[in-house]
Amino acid sequence: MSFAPLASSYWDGRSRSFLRVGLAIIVASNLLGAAATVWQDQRGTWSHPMAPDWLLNLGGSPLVGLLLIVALLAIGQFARKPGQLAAGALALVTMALLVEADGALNEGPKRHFFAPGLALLGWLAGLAFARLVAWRSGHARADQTAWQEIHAEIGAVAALAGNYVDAVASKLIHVGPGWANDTTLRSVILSHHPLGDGSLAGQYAHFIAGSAAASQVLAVATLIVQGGACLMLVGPRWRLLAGLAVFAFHCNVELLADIGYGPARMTLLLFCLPWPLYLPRLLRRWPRAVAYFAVSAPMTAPVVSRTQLLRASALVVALVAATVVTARALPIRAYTALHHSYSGERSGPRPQP
Amino acid sequence: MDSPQHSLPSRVVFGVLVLVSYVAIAGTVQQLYPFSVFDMYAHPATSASRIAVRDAAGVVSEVSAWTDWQCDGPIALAVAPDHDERSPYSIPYRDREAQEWLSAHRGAGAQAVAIVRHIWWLQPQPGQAEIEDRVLLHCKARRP
Repeated sequence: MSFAPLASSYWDGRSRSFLRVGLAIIVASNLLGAAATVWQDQRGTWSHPMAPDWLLNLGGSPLVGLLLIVALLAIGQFARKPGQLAAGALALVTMALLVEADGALNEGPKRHFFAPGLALLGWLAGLAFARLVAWRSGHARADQTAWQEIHAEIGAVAALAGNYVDAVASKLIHVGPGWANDTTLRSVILSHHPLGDGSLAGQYAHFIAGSAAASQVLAVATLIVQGGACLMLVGPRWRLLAGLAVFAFHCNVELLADIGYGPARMTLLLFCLPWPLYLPRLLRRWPRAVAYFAVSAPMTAPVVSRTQLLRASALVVALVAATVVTARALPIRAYTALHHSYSGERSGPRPQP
Repeated sequence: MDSPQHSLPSRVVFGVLVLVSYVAIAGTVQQLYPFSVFDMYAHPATSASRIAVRDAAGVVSEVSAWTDWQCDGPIALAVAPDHDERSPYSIPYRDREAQEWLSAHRGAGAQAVAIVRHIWWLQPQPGQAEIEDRVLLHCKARRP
């Protein structure tokens, strides 16, 4: 049984430094944004009523600056060399702390920060998984590095795809296919788009909000595009097609509802476009950049038996199962269920913390 | 006997594992960075609403289109303070942005305006919506 078409990537045979550095830049810009928000925030009536003091006390604290410095150094180290699992994990944990502090101070986490974080998580999981599978394979370090980054790349792409699969699953679980009715999308547009916007985007939003048929077509397209994100795992051409479809979806949402999700769009373009085909031309005036990014990296994959692969997979399944059981035992859902709890058709005043 | 790795590329297995793991963990924790079920627009809605300004001529515009606010108090953001009223769909952070704009742009505006919850009650018929303005606060402001 061969999975060769599924397994290929535009980056095969080449260094994945461009992906790693690009992801680090996106995460670093998110770190700056999250830190600035937490720095400006203070505990108030919009703070989460169940949030622990240590998280709320980060608002306006000098500790935010220290966390930012640590995280930027860590993500810099992650970008500088391949295989930097610990540095990447440190940056991710720090980012999580900042985003959760912002969410605790401000009614809920800002989800536009999530896509780069989960791509980084997928990347790091790929490094760990490849090390686990190829344990004691005896291959040279350079081969091991390329092997690890192959898995890092697919881990990041799979996590990104999971993001959109979850979005469509939520709609189907809460409502079913009837989510794509002729009022839900109009409601989102009217609640977000600025009043009196006479620009082309404003006219477009006005048209969709006023047309039950057009809004229903877009709602159906939303379900198809978000569900189709799982095709990003099926080879480079499908990744390009599915990634561009999701990118176009985000652009359309920005035009209609002024919801940007810039970090998600940048992460999609980073991982879905066939950059190896463009880089030599784009960087032709910077030979040092070509030497760094567009370098070939042939690899002899470690010979890994099916048993090794199954053992590593079983360990991952066990870890995920343990995480799910632990998370269910902790009061995490009671806490996260209150995020954005006044979204939707609400009534009555907001309870004070 | 073990088959070599190229018969079942580990990246394919790993990709599927990550996708399934993400969905499983996000489904459990709901919203915990970087996991999220992204359910913010998953619920059905048959209405929409915005905090807006209605001037003396009845024209409705954004709160941020006005400045130099003089009001007797803050905007009451509860969507249906009178429980006999229907509750429209609203976006809390948009409401809060309006409230923060008003607080940050106080002054001595002279034009009488009303801050309203501008509501669209959407009908299933194409393009139809019943409009309702619930007055939340009377203020004076200036349109630059």
